[in-house]
Amino acid sequence: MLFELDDEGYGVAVYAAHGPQRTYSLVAFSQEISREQRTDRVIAEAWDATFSFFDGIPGRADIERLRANTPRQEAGRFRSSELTLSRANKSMRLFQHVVESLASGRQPDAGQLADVGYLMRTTAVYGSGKFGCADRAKIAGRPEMHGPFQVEMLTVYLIRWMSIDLANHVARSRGGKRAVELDQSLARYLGIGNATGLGMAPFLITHPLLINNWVKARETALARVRALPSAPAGQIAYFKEVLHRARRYVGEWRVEDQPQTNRIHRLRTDLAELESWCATGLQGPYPWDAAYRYAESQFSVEGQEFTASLLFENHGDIVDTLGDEMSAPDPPRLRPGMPLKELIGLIDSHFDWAFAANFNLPEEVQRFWYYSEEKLEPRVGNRQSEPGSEFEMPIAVARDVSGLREKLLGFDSGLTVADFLSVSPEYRRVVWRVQMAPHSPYGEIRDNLLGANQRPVDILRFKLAFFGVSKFDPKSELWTRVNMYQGAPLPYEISDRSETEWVYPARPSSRQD
Amino acid sequence: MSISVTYLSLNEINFYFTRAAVGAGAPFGIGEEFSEASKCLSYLGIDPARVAISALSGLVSGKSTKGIALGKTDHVTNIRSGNGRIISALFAGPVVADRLSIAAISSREQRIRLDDTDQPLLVVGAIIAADIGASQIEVAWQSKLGDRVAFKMHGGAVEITGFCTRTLDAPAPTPVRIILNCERNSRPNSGLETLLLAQGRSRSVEHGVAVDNASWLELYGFFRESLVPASAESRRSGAGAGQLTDND
Repeated sequence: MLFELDDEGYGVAVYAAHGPQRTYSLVAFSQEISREQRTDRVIAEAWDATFSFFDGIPGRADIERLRANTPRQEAGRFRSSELTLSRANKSMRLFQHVVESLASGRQPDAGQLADVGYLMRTTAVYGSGKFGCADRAKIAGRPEMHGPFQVEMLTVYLIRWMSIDLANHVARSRGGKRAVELDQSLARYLGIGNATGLGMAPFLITHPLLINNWVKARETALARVRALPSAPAGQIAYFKEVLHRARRYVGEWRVEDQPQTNRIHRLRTDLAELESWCATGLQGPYPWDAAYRYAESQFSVEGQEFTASLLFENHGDIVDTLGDEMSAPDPPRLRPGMPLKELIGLIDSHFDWAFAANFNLPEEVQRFWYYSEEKLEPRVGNRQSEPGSEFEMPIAVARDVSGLREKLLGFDSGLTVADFLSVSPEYRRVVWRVQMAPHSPYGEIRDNLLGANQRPVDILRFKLAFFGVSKFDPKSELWTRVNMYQGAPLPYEISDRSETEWVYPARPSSRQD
Repeated sequence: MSISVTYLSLNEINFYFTRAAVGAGAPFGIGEEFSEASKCLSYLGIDPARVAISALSGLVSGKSTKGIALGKTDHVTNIRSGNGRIISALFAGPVVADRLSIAAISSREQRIRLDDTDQPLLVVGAIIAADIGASQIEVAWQSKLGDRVAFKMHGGAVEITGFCTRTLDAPAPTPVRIILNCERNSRPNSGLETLLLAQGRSRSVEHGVAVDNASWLELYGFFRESLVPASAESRRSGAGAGQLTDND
């Protein structure tokens, strides 16, 4: 809608997504920053590009207001007309290579392009009322935004397109008539990167009903597919085709993290076995159930989950509608009239896993999670050697339930929760948590998040998986990089209904190859 | 005189108010109830930041107490200070709301007398947040100007009598009387200002909640108390990044 970028690609651009009833606009600001400023961390103060996602079409006054605020990110203030706030940095090695190649009239090296997989990497996508932006309630009733995180996903999809547009623009400016556009197949293989840190983990803990609904949708989908008594030959052939593509895609997945490298190696073996098994295994009754049972009995956890994903990809007609059930209403309120006897019963029937750790041992409570005063960056610390544990985030469900159970021993079980909380208000949150358990059987991460051996990056992966990310690339046990929308149709391809499926895209080859 | 305001989203009230209470010394669960109560006050057009400051300050200074003792005389539940100090509304609000919820479920009248409390409006907010399905709840106290202030809640409507925004910043500690009435035909009087909570919530969602800048800055100060100081070590390793720049 607006493209006011200079020859180096700095300035403002606006991209609009038109739906049947509404238009949403990505307002993008691009600027020059130094190498010293470029970081994926929350503590960054400047970014190559910053974005506000606007509800409607912004006027010039809106754009000027956002120009003064969006590049400042957390230090800016926003209105309910803005739905998300986000930022991204260039992948320096790939962005420069792509621009230089296009400017000199040739396509970039496909291998280099595929190795990185994106031109820009988002480092935060804030929604749901952050920094004055609109609350989720403003858009939750809209059909296109009913599913959770739809507005955030639309934001990053448009950022992906902006990053491609930006590279083409700068190449044209530098190369003039000699420059060429990025080949469509290369452009489609580019996703949008994302660096994710610890902030996602507390979100999962503090939204048990939402997480329950996500996992419930997944379990329901799996149950529906496994319950199919037979499969048409065409569907089996399609499953094998996607599996074949998936094997190649996983074969190209390389990371530096050793534990994940080991998992990927085992996954490759699992998928090879699955392909062999499919030669005869899908011929009997309940073929998809048989496939899942085979995976469950033979494969690593990684292999089992991948098999489930393949089954979902093959059955969009019966699983896609479950996406509408993945959002969550406000959770139930605390029930003060519940007798303590009943509360104890809930603990004993739903939280047996919480008692696996001995919280008197230092190693079981070694970590504490907190917001740093430094830009509110979520961090973890060592309880024994670092100050601040009195302000830790309330995410230690296992420890807190265990403590509640012990505390309740000193109370008459005929009293009510209200009686108990009037003298022990510090237990209010965990009491509510216990009462939530019957409403959210999948709502808890059944582990001790304080333990010295905890690997938080696995929690991040759990959430990111529901966004459909790929190329999980842990950089430490506390943060990861991933790719989103790799292989997805480009905006001008979306209306072409033949482009309905794009998972596990084939690695492109250069025209010179 | 124009007042400088900041517009907060409801989610920001959740985040900052909860942690402001934690910064003032309240447990997290009480902080969450406090933020829910604050949101409900905003639905009535009452600035939740101005309401919050006196209660948070009372906790930090020690003038207000978390200690509560319950007793019962002549069908009235008495909520008293456990140590003779003013009762903190952050703690009293949930206790009152819990008692009313239980009474409403069993469809019986409930009368509560709350001893001197630092911020009665937070008790009103806590009761609204509890979404109690009673026919009518009345919360009343005497303002420092001598007027009788009353909030009558009936379903999704709230009728307000004698309330004056001038008393928001420094309310005098006052006893509060709360009556839950389960009679089906009890309704607020007509002719008085009646506010619909659903409308107020929609307004807050659509436009944000206007809070007085000075109060917001003060509340943010309590919030900052809940943050952990940074160190070179936490900056380097607390978020797990191997390097502090990413130019790959």
